[in-house]
Order: sequence, then structure tokens, then C-alpha cells
Amino acid sequence: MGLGAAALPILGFTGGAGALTAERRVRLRALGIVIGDLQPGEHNAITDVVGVKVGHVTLIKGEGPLVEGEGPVRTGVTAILPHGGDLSRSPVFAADFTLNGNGELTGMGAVRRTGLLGAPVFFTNTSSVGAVYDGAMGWMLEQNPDLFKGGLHPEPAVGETWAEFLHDTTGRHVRPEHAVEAINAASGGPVAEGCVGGGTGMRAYGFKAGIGSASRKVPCGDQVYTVGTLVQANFGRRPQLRVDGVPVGREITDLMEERGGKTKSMLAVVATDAPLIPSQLRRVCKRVALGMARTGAISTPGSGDLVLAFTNGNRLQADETPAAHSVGMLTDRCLSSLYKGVVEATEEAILNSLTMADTMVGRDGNTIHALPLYRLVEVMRAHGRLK
Amino acid sequence: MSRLRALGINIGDYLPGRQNAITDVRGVSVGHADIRAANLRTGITAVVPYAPDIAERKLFIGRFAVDGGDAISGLGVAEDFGTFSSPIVLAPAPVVGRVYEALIRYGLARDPGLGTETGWPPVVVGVDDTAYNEPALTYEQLTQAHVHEALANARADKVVMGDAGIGGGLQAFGYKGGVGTASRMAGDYTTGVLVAVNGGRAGALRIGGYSLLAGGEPDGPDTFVAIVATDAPLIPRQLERLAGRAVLGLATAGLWGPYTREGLVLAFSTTGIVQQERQGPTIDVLSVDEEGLYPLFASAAFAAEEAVLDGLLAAGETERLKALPQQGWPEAVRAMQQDAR
Repeated sequence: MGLGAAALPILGFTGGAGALTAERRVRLRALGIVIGDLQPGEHNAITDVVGVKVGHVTLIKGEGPLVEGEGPVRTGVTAILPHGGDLSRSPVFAADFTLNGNGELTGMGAVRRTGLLGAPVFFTNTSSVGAVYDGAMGWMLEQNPDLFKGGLHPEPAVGETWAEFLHDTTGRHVRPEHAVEAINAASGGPVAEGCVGGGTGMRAYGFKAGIGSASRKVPCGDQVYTVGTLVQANFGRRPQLRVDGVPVGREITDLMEERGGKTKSMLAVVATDAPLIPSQLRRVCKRVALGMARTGAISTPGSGDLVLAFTNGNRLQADETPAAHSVGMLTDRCLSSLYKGVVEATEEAILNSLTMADTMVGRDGNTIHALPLYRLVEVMRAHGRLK
Repeated sequence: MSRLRALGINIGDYLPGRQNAITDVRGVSVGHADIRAANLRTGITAVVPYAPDIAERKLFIGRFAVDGGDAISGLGVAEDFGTFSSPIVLAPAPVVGRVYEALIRYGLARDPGLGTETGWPPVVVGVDDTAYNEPALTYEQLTQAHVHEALANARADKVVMGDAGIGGGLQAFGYKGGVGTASRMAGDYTTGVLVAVNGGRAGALRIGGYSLLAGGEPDGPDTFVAIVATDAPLIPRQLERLAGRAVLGLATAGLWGPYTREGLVLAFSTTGIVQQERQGPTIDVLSVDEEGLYPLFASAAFAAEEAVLDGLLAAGETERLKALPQQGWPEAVRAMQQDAR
């Protein structure tokens, strides 16, 4: 996109600095801000990895003072399916990494034991992990009544971040059926970002955030692989925020929430179609931390910064009984390009979660402002990064 | 139904505590909920590490997994911080999520600040009890009320063994499996173990080193879970080692064998860190010296071995599986142990 067109998508901007939701929300790249030099896939989203599907259920209800058990409700469920088939019978290679462990991502016992993920991945808010796991397990048992036969024992991978500033976390608003709804809503193509699904009540760097995604094409010999990330961003202090290296958070110092909070976690899932084995996927996971760091994160002791990576390029058939499977394994030379793709896609996914999220008013009138895109562009221009 | 000790057979060194149970570790209580219905024979077992009305207490924990372990929540915090602050609940694997939700509700009812001030990852361990139960039926019928019932039933003295709680649907060595527990006192410290006795091949059972050659029925799920509690002040790395030593005891009894698919041991110390954030920039943490660890390691191994055997002895016969026969072998084991002396 030419730089002259950069500001066009947000020409709908009408308000002053304090105005709520005055701007159209667009993705980072539509502002002319480009992270790295690898090309994104068709949708610049995790769904560019063929077969990967994403679905959201967004629960927004009520406003005003917090009444525990009633609301206001600002949460949801995001489901990520590694492929459209029966995951428990056709699991994918996977691995996880804990950057800082003050969080929950269920199912990692099975992933570490077998190196296989045989279930969907879900992101939600902290107090809803049990309900989502329960709903997912019911769905899995319906799909495959023999789920507990054999050695795989797949478990739903349910991750969480803390939505307390906007959401009635005590109320039991997410129900097991919402997990199934999110699965049924899952599709390929463009991924809804910002205040959707599990990201609904989240904030990052003092701005409204939530779900973000991005992808990269990774050339490797005569092959081109795709790697995509999807994040649920709920971390960072304002002064830390950097966009493509520019200290934006030190330049936009207003539009802060009225009080601080304990939000400081990020969940990330990395998908690729590159042939990797689980030990390689664990190394891939670690690169997500570098993408986070580029946006300014330090991963605090209170963070639950948890990463899961899978490849659907090495798909196993649990029902087969061969003596051995042939699996591909990327060489280190190509792995280097893949790492680059992961770092770039993670940085851009986090920034997409910011540029796509609208200002949100939650419980007790608590307000998290959207990152003002017009001013973001101004800051980038002032630093000579945009014309 | 008799305990191994009442049959004149002792395992290893050191004396057991008053109940010869994990509850000999002060503060620890255990509760079960039993679920019996047509084609359903399962339950919930809760190991409660401190009085449940206490909020905001963190304890050190260490994890030892045989090949990854099975479904478990609270893993991230337990592994990275080495702490936990929840009852440890053993439940059938299909309902781990429901138990998690039940524990959140339980915590919220106890502690209104929980929802806004502190995260509270419940520690739920999924156990494979498909030897008796169809996962779909378990999923259909087990409710959050069962979890609350197990917590309400928690007692700090006698632990019901055998078919109680998660023990209802377990199979071990081709016989009816169950929940077993035992303890040891070494020096100033008490260490107790609770085992979900599940797995072990027919013919693999060893009682005090004696092989009971008679086999039971065909093999069931090869997975086990054990919880180790100690009042010794241990830091997380030491607790990981303690958990590993418990596995030695399980192996001596034959529960961890060449065919074991997976297993999980969690070890925690009740010498806790209380309200960490409110104590200023540093807190004092006690840690047993290296030399002082070895009696504790031995305690964990002996108690784990005895817990397996007591769990089997306490389990009753069902339509599908016989209980471990209580005749024939005790004389032989006693004679063998006497010869060894």
C-alpha cells in the first residue's frame, strides 16, 4: 500500500482526543505500518495456514455498576481448530512454552507426553476455564466416543487472561455450550480481531486490546511455508509500548484508565504447515516471546504468558496401526526463516489487537480507550517512519 | 479387610503416624464423594492441604511426571512458581473441566475477594477410570455437587481407603484397585502419601518384595496418581525430588512398571508461605539441608509402597473384578521378612 493512502481508512475520524469510538478501526498494515519484510499470507491471519479455523463467541451484556452474577458481561470464547477433521483421530504435532507461568493453559500434560495436540485450542477469561473445558470435552466425546481408548487421551487446550477491569469475573457467564458455539462458528478466511471472543474484556499497554492475528510466508528452498499467530493480548504498561521500534507509549500518555489493574498476560497460538517435530515446535514457541518483547513487554511475575505451537503439515492418523510414520523435519537453515516469520507475525498480531479494538466501557463504568489511530500515524510520521 | 501392618507385615523403616495416612501431616484432610448408578462406579477424592476456610495461602509444590502425566490443571503455576493454593482434586478425566468450575465456585463462596484480587488456579488431576466407566456416562452424570460433597467430607483423621472416591472405578494388577494411603515419621517430620492405585500388570504385584504369582483379570489402564504431603520445610526443587522418590515405592510394589503409560506424583509441603504479597519485599523460607532430605525421601518411598498395598487390601470385590485375596500370602511374606532379618 502506498503511503499516500495510509491515512485513508481512518478518514472517518471525527472526534477529539477523548471521544469514544470515533475512528474506524483498521489493521496495522492498513495504516501503512509494516512489520518486518516477510510477506503476509492472503488474510494476514493464522487462517492462512490451510485448514486452520477460528471462531468467536462474544458475550457483551449490561452496563453500569457491577452486580456479581449479573454483569456487566464483557467476555467470550475464541476457538482455534488446527484442521477441519477429527482432531482426536488425526492429531497434530505440538509443543508449549511458558514464558511466565501465572496462568492456565490446560491439556499440556497430554501435549508434553505425546507431542501431539488432539483437541481444539480455546482462549477465554480466567474464571471460565472450567466451563469451556467441560463444554469442549462434551463435544470431543460426541465426535469420538473412543476418546479415552488408546494412549492419546487428548485434552482441550483452554487458556485464560484476566478480564476483571471490565467484566463480572465472579459471575458464571461463560457456559459449556459457548465452547461448542465457538467451535461451530469457526471458519477459515479473515479473522475478527479486537474486542471479540476471549479477547472481549482485554487491554494492553493501557489501551483496549483483545484478539489479534497475523501471518507470514516463509520461503524455504523451492517451498513456501506459512506461519500464523493468534494472540489474546492483555499485558503491558503504557510507557512500554513500541510500534515497529517507535516508543509510541511515551508519546501518547493520555487516554489512560482511571485506575491500574492486574492485567499482564498474553496467550499465543502459533500455527504452521511447515514440517516440524515437537522439539522444533517448542523452539518456535520461544520466538513468540521475542515478538512480544518488540512491542515492549517484559513479562512480569504476575503474567501468564503461555504459548502453544502446532503444525498441521505433519498430521498423524491415530487409527492407523503402522510400525512407523514418516514425518518431515525442517532443516535448521529453513528454521531460521520460520523463526523470523514467528517474531514478525507475533509483533504484528499484538499490534492488530490494539488497532482493531474499540473503546469499551465495562463494569462500574470502567473505560479502556482504543489506541487513537490518527495519533499513532502522527507519531510514526514524527519519527520519520511514515510520510 | 485388614491393613498390611495388622497382618504383621511392615514396609521399610520408620514408624507410621497415628493414622498411617496422609492426614498425619498436620493440616491435611481428605474427603471423598462416591458415585454409584447403573453402569457407573466412580467418585471424587479431594486432598485438602490446609483448612479450607483460609484464603490466600500459598504452599510449595513439586511435580514428578512419568511421561507427562494425564489431564491436570494448575500446572503452569505449579511448574513455574512452584506454588499452589487449592485443594488437589482427583477426578475421572472426562470431567476435569467441571471439577475446575466447581472449585472456582467453591473458592468464590469462601472468599468474595477471590474474583477480583487473586487468581486461583485449581489443581485438578484427571484419573483414567475407564476400567469401570464409560467416559460418556461419567460426563453425563458427575456434577459439581459431587465435588463440593467431597470437600465437605474432608476429614483430618481417618482416611477411607479402597473403593472410596476416585477409588470406586480403579483397577490394579488385575484386581479391584482403589485409594490407599500411609505415612512415615522421620526425625521431626511426617510425610504421608495418598495413591490412586490404578494400573500395574497382573502378576506384577510385589508385597514386601514377595511376588504374588497368581494373576487377576486382564489389564486395565496403566496410569497412576500419587500425592505426597510433608510438614518438612522443602522448596519446590526438593519437592520434585521427593515426588520422584515416591515413584520408587510405587515401583517396588509393581505399580510403576515397564508397561506404565503415564503417571503423576505431586508433592507439597504444609510449611507454607502465607500472604506473600503482604509481607514486604522479602520473606524467610526454610529449606531442609541436603543431608536432612534422605530420611524424607525414604519416608516417601516406604509410605508410597505401603499405600499401594493398603489401597488394594481395602478395595472390595465387584461383579467384574475380584479383590486381592487376603489369604495364602501373608504367612509367606512374614516368613520371608523374618528370614531376611
